[in-house]
Amino acid sequence: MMHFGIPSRFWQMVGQAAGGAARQTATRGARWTVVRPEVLLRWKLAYKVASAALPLLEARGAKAYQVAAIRCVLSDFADAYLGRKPCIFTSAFVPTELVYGLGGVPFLPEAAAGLAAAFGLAARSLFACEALWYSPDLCSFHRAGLGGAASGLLPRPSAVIVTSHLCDGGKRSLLHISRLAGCPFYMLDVPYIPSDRATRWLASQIEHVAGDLARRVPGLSLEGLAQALHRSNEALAEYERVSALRRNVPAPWRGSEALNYVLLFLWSWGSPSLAPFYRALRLHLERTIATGDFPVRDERHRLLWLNLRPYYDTRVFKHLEGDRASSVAFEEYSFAYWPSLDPRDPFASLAEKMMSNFGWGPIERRLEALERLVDDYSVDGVVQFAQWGCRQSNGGAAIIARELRKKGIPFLNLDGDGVDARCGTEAQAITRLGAFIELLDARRGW
Amino acid sequence: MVLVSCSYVPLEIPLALGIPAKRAVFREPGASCEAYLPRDFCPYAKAFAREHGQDCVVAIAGSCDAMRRAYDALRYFGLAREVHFVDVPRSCGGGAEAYYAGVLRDFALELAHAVRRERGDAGASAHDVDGPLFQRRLVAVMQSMNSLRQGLSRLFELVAEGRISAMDAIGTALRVNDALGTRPRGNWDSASGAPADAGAARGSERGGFMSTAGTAVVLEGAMRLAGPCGPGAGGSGGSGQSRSGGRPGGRARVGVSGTCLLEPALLGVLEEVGLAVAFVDSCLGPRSFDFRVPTDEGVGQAEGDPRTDAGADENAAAGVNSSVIPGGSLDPFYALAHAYLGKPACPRMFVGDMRAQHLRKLVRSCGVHGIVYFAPKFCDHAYYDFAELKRHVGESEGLPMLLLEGEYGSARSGQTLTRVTAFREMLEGRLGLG
Repeated sequence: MMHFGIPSRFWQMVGQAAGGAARQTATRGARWTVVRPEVLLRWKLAYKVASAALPLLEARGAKAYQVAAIRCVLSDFADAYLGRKPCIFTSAFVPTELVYGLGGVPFLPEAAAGLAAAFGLAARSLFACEALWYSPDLCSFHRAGLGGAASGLLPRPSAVIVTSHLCDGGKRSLLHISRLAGCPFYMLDVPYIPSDRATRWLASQIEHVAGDLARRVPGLSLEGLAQALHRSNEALAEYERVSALRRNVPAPWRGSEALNYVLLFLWSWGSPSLAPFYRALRLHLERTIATGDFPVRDERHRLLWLNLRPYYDTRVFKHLEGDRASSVAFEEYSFAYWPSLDPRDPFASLAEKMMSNFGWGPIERRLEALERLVDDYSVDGVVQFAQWGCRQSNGGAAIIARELRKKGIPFLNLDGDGVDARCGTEAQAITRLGAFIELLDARRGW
Repeated sequence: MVLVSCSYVPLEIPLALGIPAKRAVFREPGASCEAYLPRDFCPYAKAFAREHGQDCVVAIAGSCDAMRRAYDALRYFGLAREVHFVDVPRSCGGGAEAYYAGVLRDFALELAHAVRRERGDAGASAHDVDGPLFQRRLVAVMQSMNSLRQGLSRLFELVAEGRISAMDAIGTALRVNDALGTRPRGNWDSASGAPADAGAARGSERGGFMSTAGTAVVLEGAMRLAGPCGPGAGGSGGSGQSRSGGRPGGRARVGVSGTCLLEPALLGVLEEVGLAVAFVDSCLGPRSFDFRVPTDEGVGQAEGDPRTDAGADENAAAGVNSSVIPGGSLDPFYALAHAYLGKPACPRMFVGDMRAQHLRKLVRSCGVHGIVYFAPKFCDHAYYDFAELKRHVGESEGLPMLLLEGEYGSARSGQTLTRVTAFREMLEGRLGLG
């Protein structure tokens, strides 16, 4: 299991500690036997055992930041699955500071779909979704999230918040989940063109949602909102240092691993666990740069990776980073695009964060962000993972390709599916990536 | 001419500025659309990716991810003279309406700029759209469009009664749409704000200027179609036998639902195969005209709307001007926002259970035996909408639903015919029709 590598080993340990409950096959993905995952995830003992096992994991060679990440996920999963806090399902670009600040725990089904794929559980969720008459032409991240909810793999939400940001599938799939759970559903309608009027309207919507949640969901209150924004700022400050360190040539962090941690980047703003994770990661990167122990030795090319990646087992990154000595220097979805939040004015501040998403609004905003990333990270080529069914991202490919060409940066639109291994095109992806790297080689005269 | 992408964008605004405007209806995708947009995009969005010519201003609504990217492609590749983005909210209720009223005002101002540029004048000022002259024009056009909508709604009532075929009705609606986009508009008297020419003036007496062309076409067509029809008579624009046989007797009745119907040919296929189409729930059909825009007092800043789960009253925060205009009591932009956001919901909207309720009402009032759901290939809204309606309408009402995915030109494909025929046989089996 290459992806979510440490979490995977971690869950294996949890399974073993729980009496050989889980078994991972030696081939692709994982097969869960004896104890079904939906049972294991709701098992209090599993979290106790897991927490106890964390120091062991470190002793076995896991990096401090990896353990910190597991701690972060574990804490939220325990809160969500054991019902220790009200669980609020959100789509990917809802500011999670709102949920942590209210005293709840966020759960992002589309992000969890990546985890499910890494653990070999996605196929089951996808089948469950298709049985509900949803088309396989929809984005598999949303289908797996929806199917996971329908088949009982996800925790039970107390409420659902979505935004109209970026992606149509997220909000509609979560609407279905809210109906399955019979819980309140809120949609933050994000204006497309920034203006004072737009920000004010969005801020008023956020304020309404927060107030309504505090009234309707037992256990939630507005008291912790300012603190959540403080925590978010603290994490952002650490994260900006991490991002700065990643400008180093050669890359101090494996991009394929960084793409796994997009999960936390989407999920954990406002969590007390996020700043410690980024702090540990910063220290790791500083050490790597100081010692020269870079993950891709003799780095030949540096890539910017757009959109997500296949989260099931695939040889694509082994080929890229190993055989082709090319690093993913940075990822589009790891770009922290928003300014520090103002805890004194939380709703307006969160509205500004949402409105500043570079993927929302006319494509010039995304182009500007990509241009900056290309420059900041000394990028030689850009790869867009064209997730099947992701209209919002894929729709810009022709324009991005043309704009990058003007800058002399080659662009590859790599078709694939991040969750649905049935649609995986590993051999084709490797061939196309190989050809792309050869193109980069040729440009350097190699 | 202004070509709009979505039924939530009021044609009243360009028409009031004297610019012909119509909803975009295509017959095929653009020849080189996949040079601009990916292959897994819905045919309607891809159809926008074409050379529209230098006479054409395109107004794209933020309907979905695909249309937003089509907006980018049109601008970036210079495929139209001008491209405007109309940020249509996904909810209704006070805050959304107030925000949308502001968006519509901005849209009007942008078009007014374009008109002035055309004339070689300086740019438009806020007075061009906030002044009493324009606002009177706008209200007149709203009244006129209401008449038009009323006529079109009546046409589809005749469809439900089985007096004319759905294919004919939708054909008439599309002809009216074309008329709005291509017929010369009346000239406005710049001093009085009244129509300057005689034909337009006659229209004005009936409540608005462009109705002279459009309403006449509709009403005349409707009368001709619905005329004294015996069994098997009527239909086809008075040319002879109706495609539907004129009345539904002996035929299984179906409703057609979906996002964008793409092409009306599907209705013809259903009727030719032997089904009676009793309603059309599409933005090419009654969803675009089963509503009226308030044109007198009573539409001010709305209160929180109970139709939405999170229907807060965010009006003040949205910063929209007062609903009162000089010399009147109506903010026409607010009235438009209120009416358009509250019209029969399309699948893109988040308005609680309103869409399912509307479809249930249609199903019951028209007494249909099944629903044919048309989804343009790769239309995410349609895919999600179908699954929800199947559960909340199809299953709850005990109605079979047929999902047809298609592209331009697929309505008459053998595959579609086979599936529709099988659906008819199944319905007839359930009804005991021989």
